[in-house]
Amino acid sequence: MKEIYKKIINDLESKANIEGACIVSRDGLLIYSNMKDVHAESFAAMSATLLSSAEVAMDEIKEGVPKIVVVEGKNRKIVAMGAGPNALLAVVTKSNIEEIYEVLEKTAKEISEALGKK
Amino acid sequence: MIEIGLPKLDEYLNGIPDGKTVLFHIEPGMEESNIAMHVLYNNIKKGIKGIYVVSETSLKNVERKFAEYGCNIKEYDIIFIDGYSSLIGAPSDAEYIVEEPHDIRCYEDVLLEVFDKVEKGIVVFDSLSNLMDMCGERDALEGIERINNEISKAGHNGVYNFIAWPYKESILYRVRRIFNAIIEVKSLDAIGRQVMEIKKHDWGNGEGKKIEFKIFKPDGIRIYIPKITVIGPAKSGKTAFIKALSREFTSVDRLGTTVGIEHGIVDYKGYRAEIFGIPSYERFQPLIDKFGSSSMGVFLVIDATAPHTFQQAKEMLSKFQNLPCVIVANKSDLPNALSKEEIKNRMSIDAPVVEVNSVSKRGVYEAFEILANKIMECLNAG
Repeated sequence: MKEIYKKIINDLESKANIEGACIVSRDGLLIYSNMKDVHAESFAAMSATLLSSAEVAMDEIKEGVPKIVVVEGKNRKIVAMGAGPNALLAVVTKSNIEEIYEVLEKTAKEISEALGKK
Repeated sequence: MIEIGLPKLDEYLNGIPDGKTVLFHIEPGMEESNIAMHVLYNNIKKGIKGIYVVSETSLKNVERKFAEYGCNIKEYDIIFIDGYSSLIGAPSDAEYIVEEPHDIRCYEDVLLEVFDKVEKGIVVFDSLSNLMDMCGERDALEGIERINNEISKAGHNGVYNFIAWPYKESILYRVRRIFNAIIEVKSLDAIGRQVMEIKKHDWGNGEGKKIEFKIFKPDGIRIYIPKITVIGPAKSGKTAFIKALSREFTSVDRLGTTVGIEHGIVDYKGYRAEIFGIPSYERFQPLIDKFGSSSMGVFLVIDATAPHTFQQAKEMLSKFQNLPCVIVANKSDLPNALSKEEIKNRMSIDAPVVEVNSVSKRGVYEAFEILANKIMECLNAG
């Protein structure tokens, strides 16, 4: 399966200006990462926390499931997006969200399909 | 006697006695298919001579692969038998070269020469499936049977990688016959969880025993526990406990209270575990539901000086019924701390209580070992 995830993330990187990406299970376990110089497992757990917490907060205001969670830093952003019921996609990028949203959504769909195959 | 290098698996196997051969029967498509290399590394570190039969990649690649796991092969006593360079017509730096890699008898010739010079060694074949493809399935297996007899006579050990492509059942039957132990390596799910299960064990009764594992770069192969959840009442010291236990630790606390998931990575005696600390306040309940799922075990952290919080601790545990649990009696060095027996009586939960001081780390690893053992028992109970 790792080869499939690798291909999906490589495709994403070829289409969008992404510094690193990881695929994480909804409950915080790292599935695949190409991120360098980070503790990928911790980043995965925290990204899942971000998305989960956002989902709970959105639910409180009856807004349904959030499409995307963006955390803006000084130079870069963390973007987390659900990838089907079992996983999420988290990326680090300098791009504007509008520029990469579509390709992220497509990638998330591919991850969801890949996970559904096993 | 050699060991695989995975504590629980070695316990189930009771080590690998001299003269015995082990086959890793590996599902195609696994993230890492060279398990034998890790076994070799574990043993050459202890001073055992290594003999590495390369048939499917170049020596340079093998060297690179070892380096990925922090091993500089030049520092160790390894003889390389190169069956790959002749195959592609490339020159080789190896001390021993198999001139005709399509003939299993040429491998035998070289190995016999090496066996005469080496008193005791571990022979790694990377891989049997490749030898079968190169030399013909039946011829290769007949040759390997003769090689295994020589390994047995000389008191060496043989460790084979075998990628379990869809061979005919008669061939697989033959494969199963000629090794003393077979360990099946397969993936469990799309998340990447992987198990090893002992399928044959002719010097013991480990058949059916399994462990979950993962291979990390550069740390190598570990028994892997993907999730242990830490729960407990507020101020019981969950954060301090996870911090004391973990090699790497990430916390989200504000004003002394944890407001998100805490994450720690434990590396201890061949185990790698990921620890998820859950905040104690009721308002974080949705996070417990999300992150508590798929947990393999639970640490229930209590403050041994605060018996009024025990009832709340018990209620928290109700969400993790049927999971292996250890009660971590934190702050047990304080003068007013209740004893282990008193805690057991008051909690009346069927779980071991371990007295811990997260500051001095007393009892921290004892608690981990007990829980890890319980998780392994649970995995093997089905």
